[in-house]
Amino acid sequence: MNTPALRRNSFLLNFFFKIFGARASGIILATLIVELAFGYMTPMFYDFGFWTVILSFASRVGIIAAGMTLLMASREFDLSVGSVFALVPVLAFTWARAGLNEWVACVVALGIAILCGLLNGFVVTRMGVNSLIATLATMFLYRTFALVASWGGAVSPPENPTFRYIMGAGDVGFKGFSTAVIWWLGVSAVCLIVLSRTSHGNWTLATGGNEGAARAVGVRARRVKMINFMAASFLAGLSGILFAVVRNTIYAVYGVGMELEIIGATVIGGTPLIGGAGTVLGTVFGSTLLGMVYLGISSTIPMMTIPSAYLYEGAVGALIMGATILNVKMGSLKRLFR
Amino acid sequence: MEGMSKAFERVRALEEVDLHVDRREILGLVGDNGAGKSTLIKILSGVHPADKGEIYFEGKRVHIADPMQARELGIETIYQDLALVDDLKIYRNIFLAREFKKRYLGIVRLLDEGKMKSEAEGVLKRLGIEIASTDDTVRTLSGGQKQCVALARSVYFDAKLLVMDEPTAALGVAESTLVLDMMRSLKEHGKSVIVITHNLAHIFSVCDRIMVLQHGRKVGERYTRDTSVDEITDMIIGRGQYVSNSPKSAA
Repeated sequence: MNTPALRRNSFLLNFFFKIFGARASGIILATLIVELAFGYMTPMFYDFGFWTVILSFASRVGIIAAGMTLLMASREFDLSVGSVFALVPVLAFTWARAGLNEWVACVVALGIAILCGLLNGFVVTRMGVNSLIATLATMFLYRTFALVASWGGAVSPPENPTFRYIMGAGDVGFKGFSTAVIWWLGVSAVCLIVLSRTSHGNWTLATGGNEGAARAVGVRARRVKMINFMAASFLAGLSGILFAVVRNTIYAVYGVGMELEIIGATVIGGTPLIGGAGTVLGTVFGSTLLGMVYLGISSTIPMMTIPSAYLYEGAVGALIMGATILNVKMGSLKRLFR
Repeated sequence: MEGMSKAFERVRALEEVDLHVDRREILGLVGDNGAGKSTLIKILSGVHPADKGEIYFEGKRVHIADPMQARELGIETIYQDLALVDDLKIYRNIFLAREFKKRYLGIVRLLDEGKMKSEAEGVLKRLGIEIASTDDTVRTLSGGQKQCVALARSVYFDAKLLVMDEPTAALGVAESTLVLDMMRSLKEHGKSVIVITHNLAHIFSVCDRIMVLQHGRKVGERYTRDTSVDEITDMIIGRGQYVSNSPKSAA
């Protein structure tokens, strides 16, 4: 369809598409707009110090969302990530406090996280249970483990300063970024490369796009999904450890409801719910946007009127709705430029 | 020039059906619904086992227990749904599960996209298929082009025998012509083709021989040049001198 007029007038849009790809362009534009909007209301939004808070918030969601992007690209969901987020640090720090070397404790606890993913994957791929149902069930199951392991109380991370530095609380020196943010960006970079430049990534996209076709040519769809489930749970555990170190404490009830934030960040970022495609770059911006929204709300609306946490949830819902509609529009807009 | 022949039987679905096709030959397999065409090719592609009978490929007796074995022998089946992923790029579809990889920094094995693209373009060009860019997704292709891409994939991986199940069923005239031309091209490249279709016009246009099944039995086999649409039609529905013993046949 030849629309030279449109082509000329939308040089900016074309520019965006070329650099970021049609999928991530939407969220990147949205993030810029929101930044300008909040920046207009509070000058804090142009302060780098403030940004470290935003990015710290974003990293909690973003680390897991990177893995979720892969999983959703293969057309599966994991609702249990919030529970694993709590379970892993609870276990790791309880063991560390009991005398086990903190690094070993983390490795073992992350191993448990991988087993959680394995169970999720097994129930979905071998027992044929829909992933929403299966992970809803494991969400409760893993939460129970966390509650029992911590007996409902607080668990604090090990004192070891090196450990704390590496696992999240450290100040990298550049503009006040914490190591948690570095972990987030690193994990996202890895996931981005895996999804777009490895054979596993190609199989993931194929499995999500047309599982029958993928199987017909020999893609091991079950194994692909299994790996993605394990990655998501692993990252959930990692994020939990980092978060607990930064906050200096972890309760078994932390992370309740987080799975929706994560799926939200992924969908807002441009990854479709039905799978077959995914953009980790979009997810990075989606997580950032959530951070901006939360901090934007808490800095513009006084706590006394409405707690920001309530508004934040509403905002996430509205964003998911808006993003989904926008993605559809972007899709038809892209077709206009062919 | 070694051909391929097969003799087997299966109660109710197929009874003592012999099929053979030579290299550089296009065989049309026809018959009404339920005649056993699908069953026959599924045995050939390793999806079903035969109850009785043998398969010979290039002169040697073979056993085809699963689709992978069929593919290893060089038998590739193109089903109606084509086994293409719409939202994936063309070159990624062609090399799905068989991607080219390149080592980076000595440790990481990433996709060699450059090689995949150039190889994809190469095989498409070799077969005379015109596609704007292998970087586009399959979704942008027409039905006929999709068929051609699926065929190109099989050809690239050295298929010797291509089995096509209703390739022109959903296609218009221009598209069908594209696919039929491709089939002739395959023949020129030394491949054998078995094509199942209800479209007798296409059969007569492109096939060298025609084999008719009815209710699991082979009713007849003709060289295309020696027969006519009417005769084939009679064989398919069991009319005239081809009245079969089956109670469903037309008198």
